[in-house]
Amino acid sequence: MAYFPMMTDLSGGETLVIGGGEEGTKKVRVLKDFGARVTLIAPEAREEAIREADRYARRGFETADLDAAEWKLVVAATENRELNRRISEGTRERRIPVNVVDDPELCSFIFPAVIRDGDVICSISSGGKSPYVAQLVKEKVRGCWPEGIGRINDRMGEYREQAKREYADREERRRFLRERLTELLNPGTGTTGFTTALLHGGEAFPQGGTLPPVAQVNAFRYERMEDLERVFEHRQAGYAYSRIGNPTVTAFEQRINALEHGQGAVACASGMAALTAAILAVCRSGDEIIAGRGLYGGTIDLFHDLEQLGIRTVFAEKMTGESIRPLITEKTRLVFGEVISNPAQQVLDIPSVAAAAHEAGIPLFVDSTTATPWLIRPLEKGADAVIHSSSKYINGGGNAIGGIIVDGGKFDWNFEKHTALAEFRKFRRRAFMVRLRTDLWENLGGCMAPMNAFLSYIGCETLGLRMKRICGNAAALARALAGMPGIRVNYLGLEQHPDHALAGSLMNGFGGILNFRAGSRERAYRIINALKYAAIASNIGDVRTLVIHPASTLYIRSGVQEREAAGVYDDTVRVSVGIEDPEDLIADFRRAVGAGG
Amino acid sequence: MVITVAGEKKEVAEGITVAQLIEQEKVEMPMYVTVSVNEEFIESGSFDTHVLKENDEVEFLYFMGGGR
Amino acid sequence: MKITIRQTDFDAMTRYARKLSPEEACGLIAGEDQADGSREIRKVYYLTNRDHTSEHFTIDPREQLAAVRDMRAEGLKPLGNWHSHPETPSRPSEEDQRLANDSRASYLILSLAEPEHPVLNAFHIEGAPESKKVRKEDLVILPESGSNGDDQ
Repeated sequence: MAYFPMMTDLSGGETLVIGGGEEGTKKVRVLKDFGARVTLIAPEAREEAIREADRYARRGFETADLDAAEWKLVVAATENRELNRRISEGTRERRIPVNVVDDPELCSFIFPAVIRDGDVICSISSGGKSPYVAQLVKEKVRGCWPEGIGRINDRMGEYREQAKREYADREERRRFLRERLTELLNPGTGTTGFTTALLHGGEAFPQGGTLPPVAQVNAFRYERMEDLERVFEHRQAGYAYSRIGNPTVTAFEQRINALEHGQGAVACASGMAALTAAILAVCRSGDEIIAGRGLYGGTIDLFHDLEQLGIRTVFAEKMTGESIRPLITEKTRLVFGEVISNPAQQVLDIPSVAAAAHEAGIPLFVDSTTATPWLIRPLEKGADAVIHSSSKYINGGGNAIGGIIVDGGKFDWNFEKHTALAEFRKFRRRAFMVRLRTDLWENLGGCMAPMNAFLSYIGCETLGLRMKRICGNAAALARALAGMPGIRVNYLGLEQHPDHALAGSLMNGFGGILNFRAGSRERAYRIINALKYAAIASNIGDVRTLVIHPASTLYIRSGVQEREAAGVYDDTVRVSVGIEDPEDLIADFRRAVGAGG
Repeated sequence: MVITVAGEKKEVAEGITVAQLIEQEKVEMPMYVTVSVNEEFIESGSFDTHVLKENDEVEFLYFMGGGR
Repeated sequence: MKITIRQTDFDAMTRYARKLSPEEACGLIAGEDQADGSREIRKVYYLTNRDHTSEHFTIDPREQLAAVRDMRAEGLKPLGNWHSHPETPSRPSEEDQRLANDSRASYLILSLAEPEHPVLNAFHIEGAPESKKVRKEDLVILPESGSNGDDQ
């Protein structure tokens, strides 16, 4: 019969260990690890046992010892089997649990194999039949032990108290706790350290300025022609012309590169300019791209335009490894997806897609605009380059259009396949970024304006704070909307979203975009028009809450199928949640929904 | 030992690392420099472990942009 | 640099340090350096602080010798030392820095400043006596228990 794994609290309890050899010492140690007080009786004992024991009597066992205190348990670990047997009998007579080392017959309890992480215990036993089996199982469990679960458990304990205080409804409490656990489980980017690292990246600016100066200039002069020549040859550090390089823009590129843990970044005039440059750097006429459905309308339009240049896009129904594999042909040069699609909020399974793409020698580029490095660092999950429309959350204030490409610098380009990069083969894994910086991106001319770089640089400083607030607000608003009449909410942070678990396993949160269906186009319009705090505008990622009817605006050029694949219906309202006080937002939406009829 | 740095022959200590060379040569804007040794690009994270050998050809290149 | 220590050793160090508080507790650490540059602490030694004060520590040299002999016998490498700060944070004091002369060693400091939250950090210290450079190592506490899979 298997033993019952009873978990009992030994802290502060009195325990007795008889025998101070190797076994006795181990037992003393374990008991101390679990907070027990240990009295050790042995004529001689190891140093560790003596050091750990609370009381040590340097003598042999006497029967009276069993009555000396209210023992929670007794361990007989002497070398003498007969003595151990007597101790066992005496202890059991007094109805105290006893363990006799190496003698399961004489035990009323045995010590399990244990993995301990904070207060989380995994206890393993073979019923005394085989310590080797117990050891094997322990190794297996240790192999898949969720890292940091002890600390996470402590936090969950605090959340449990908070939930009891704040939620009367048991369902709500459960949901709150499940969502907190999902958030805690991904150490990923983490909220601690993100902002500190962002602000203290080690850059130094002229005259000790705490921010980069705005170099709103076209060109940079040199004292000697030879120096300008060397700058053009890339053999001297320096700037020549702002379309190809500008110090304010460099500061912004450095910052985003650091945030994404990349190996090089190039800033662009807009997210679309970034996407165009990234694609054209690796694809030529005749090549194919695999992309997901439900992409941002502008991206879909760009792919249509690229068809004219002979670059064909094949759309995968789902962005997972299995779904894209069958679509890979000899012409495929790139796999592209959006980390969190907008507004359906489908999540790209980056590790799975990256694995499938890499198997076929193809890179994975992702658009992480709606996620931001705060939620996830795609380069650390397998993506090869990450693209942002910095106009959104990175800039934060909705005051500068911009884009950026960050290269992971790790993709092993096969220059026979990616002939677009062949000229740059000597740069190996850096070929993509070097081609962009010295050739393609320069020539396309989609450079970021210095003033925009400055505005986005300073806006980015609060990215961590804003994302935390925005994600919290989105969750609160989504929950409130879900309870309103005739409203069907779609938010990644709610359990019922199909990608909720995937998001929880990959990211540090669920983002700031949500959408809901109002029942009809007319009702959607009425609700939108009745909102006071949500501005009707075509943008996302601003500090202000923004709202829009996507079907009639962003998807105006798309067919019904494309729209619905993006989760956009005739009655869909998209909300980009801002940093307002959540109670005000909830009240505003409640009122508007009521007024909408 | 003798190595070539940016096209010029130089005498350097045996076992010198890329990081040490950067410091020794007072390479400008070390935060932005890209280093190649014998046409092979060295990851910035490896600057202080990559040891140079006799006759290595070291180039310091600048692509004025974010990150290395 | 990553350096790992077992939870059970962290607990035992804390118990020992608490027992000796307000005096600083001290000892040596031993284990292995891995191929990827990370270190694994396999054994912690609990030695006597000859100074017996709350401000600094000196490891008894005879005990130190015995510990090093024990390490050799067990095939372990000396990795550095540890000591407790009964009241101050887990950071090397100026004196700690001045006396840290081995740039290959890991210096562990256990702070009991917050009674419910003992804090353990590991540091790398190098440089000339008047200009020491201190770098915090990446200390990872491994969830392991002392019972070693006994199941008996």
